[in-house]
Amino acid sequence: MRIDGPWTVAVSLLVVLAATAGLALWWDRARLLGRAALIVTVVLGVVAASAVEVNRLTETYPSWSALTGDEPEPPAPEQATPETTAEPGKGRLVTYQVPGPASGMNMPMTVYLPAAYFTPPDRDLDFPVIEALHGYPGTPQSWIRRIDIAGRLDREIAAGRMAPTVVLLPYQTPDRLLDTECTNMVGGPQSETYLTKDVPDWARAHLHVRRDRAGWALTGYSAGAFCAMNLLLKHPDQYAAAASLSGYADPGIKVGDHSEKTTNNIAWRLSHLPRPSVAMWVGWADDDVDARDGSRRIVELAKPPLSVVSAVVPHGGHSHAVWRQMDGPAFDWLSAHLARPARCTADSKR
Amino acid sequence: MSLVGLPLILLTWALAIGAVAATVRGWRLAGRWRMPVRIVGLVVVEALVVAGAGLIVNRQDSFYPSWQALGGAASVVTVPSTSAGRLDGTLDSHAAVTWSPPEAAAWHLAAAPQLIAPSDYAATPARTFPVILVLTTTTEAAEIRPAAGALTVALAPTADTTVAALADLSGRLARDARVTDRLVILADGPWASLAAGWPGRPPVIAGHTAADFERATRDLPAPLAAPEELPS
Repeated sequence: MRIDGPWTVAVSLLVVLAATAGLALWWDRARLLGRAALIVTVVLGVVAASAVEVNRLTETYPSWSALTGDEPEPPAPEQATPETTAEPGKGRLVTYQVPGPASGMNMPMTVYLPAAYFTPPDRDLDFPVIEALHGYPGTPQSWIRRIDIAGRLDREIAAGRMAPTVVLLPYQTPDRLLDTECTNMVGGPQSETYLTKDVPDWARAHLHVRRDRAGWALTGYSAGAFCAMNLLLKHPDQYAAAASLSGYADPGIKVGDHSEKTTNNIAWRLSHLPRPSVAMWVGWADDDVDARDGSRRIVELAKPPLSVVSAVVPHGGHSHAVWRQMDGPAFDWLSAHLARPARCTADSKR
Repeated sequence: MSLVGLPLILLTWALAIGAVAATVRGWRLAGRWRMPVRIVGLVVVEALVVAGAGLIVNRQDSFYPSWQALGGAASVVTVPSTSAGRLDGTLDSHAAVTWSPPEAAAWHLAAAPQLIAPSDYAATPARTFPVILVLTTTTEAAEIRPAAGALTVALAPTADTTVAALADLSGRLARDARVTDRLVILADGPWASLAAGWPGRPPVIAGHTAADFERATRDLPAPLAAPEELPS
């Protein structure tokens, strides 16, 4: 039984019902300590059932082993990369362990490899890359299970609206309960370095991907959307474009050096620093007040050579339902701003 | 009543308190109704407390700001169809086509522009193609090449040709051929400054050898079908 499956929620509700019935039945027979134990059992049951549902929505702990900390390390790239697709026209999700010599982070990363990655003659090409960043709380599994990113990418590529693209799904934090907003936190995780240095270096060394800036982009939803825009503006020499799905203008955390008010603040960067020549797709739901106001401010501040387009969903709040509407248009737009799959360079590695 | 409004939160907590009071009152009820009353009362209290806490969190973070959002947002995604270019029938021939839009007179070119479509232009009518714009001293057919997955446009500027004079070129081209606004400029030496001033600052490559064309093609997006779109 999966930790994020509907059956787990159903079972947890049955446990709450059973504990509640137990409290009602045994109350008259129990003494003070017994009654206290019955109450505690019910309260814990309600809290646990609520936590299971919240976890199902956020995928903070996508497996029982993630909850217990016993997750097995993914196999080495040479062993993990499949030789074929599961089905024609369908890409594959493969998980690798990505060490971070520069950041000190060592995290698993799921990678979407498009069907063309395995299919002659395209398998000899270097593919463009999109780093897709998850929200907080959350994990890359949110992209996979709640947004169905693989199904979406398969559909967009099959329809010709998107070129075959490798999509990286890294963690943005080594601690599921610590929101880094993809920054280098003072005395904490060096997430920015991991995402902009270690992950790209690893991908270029182990996957058939483009090495040049024109072939790299970022996207993300919620906190991941802030990450995508912030990292694009801070590293315009590495990324050509970013798509923000319900992003904010500031990180909403304390980085430790007050940079949340300056260099890690998108509104501040666009107001105080030269704007880089990059492209942004900024989407929000019109009833998602914080993300709407932050995104609007970013769009207003974006001036040439930075180019920006906006996209608005009228209703839906800050939810997966909104991001499931946005991801297709965002990926299509990104693909139209990324260099195409091109012939492999001599030193590319599979 | 708004999903994120104070009235709903207050009502929920008032109902929770009322449910607690009713459950306490019925706790010692005699007879066979005692257990059902206790169990139902406790379950109602639990549900209202969880709902009350959830409403507070939802009000704070706007996850679901309306009942409509909670019920699932109706999709507003559209997929526009690709418009055919006016010269599509001519461009299908794979040969260089002389392009003579009425605006060309104001571009101050030495010769009429030439267009060469990629070999798959006719076979993929739903796709639009990025552009390789060649600024050269001659638009002789031998000087320009078809490029895979891109439309080649060859212009022969003169000293009177300016970026301002060419401002309507992109729009005119988009009406006459299935092209995107993504382009790479291949510029011979005399036209480097013209290329450098091009709106949007597209990549500029000096020269127009076969290797230059190959490099330009590599830097461009793939030809794509019309993207899914949302209202802006």
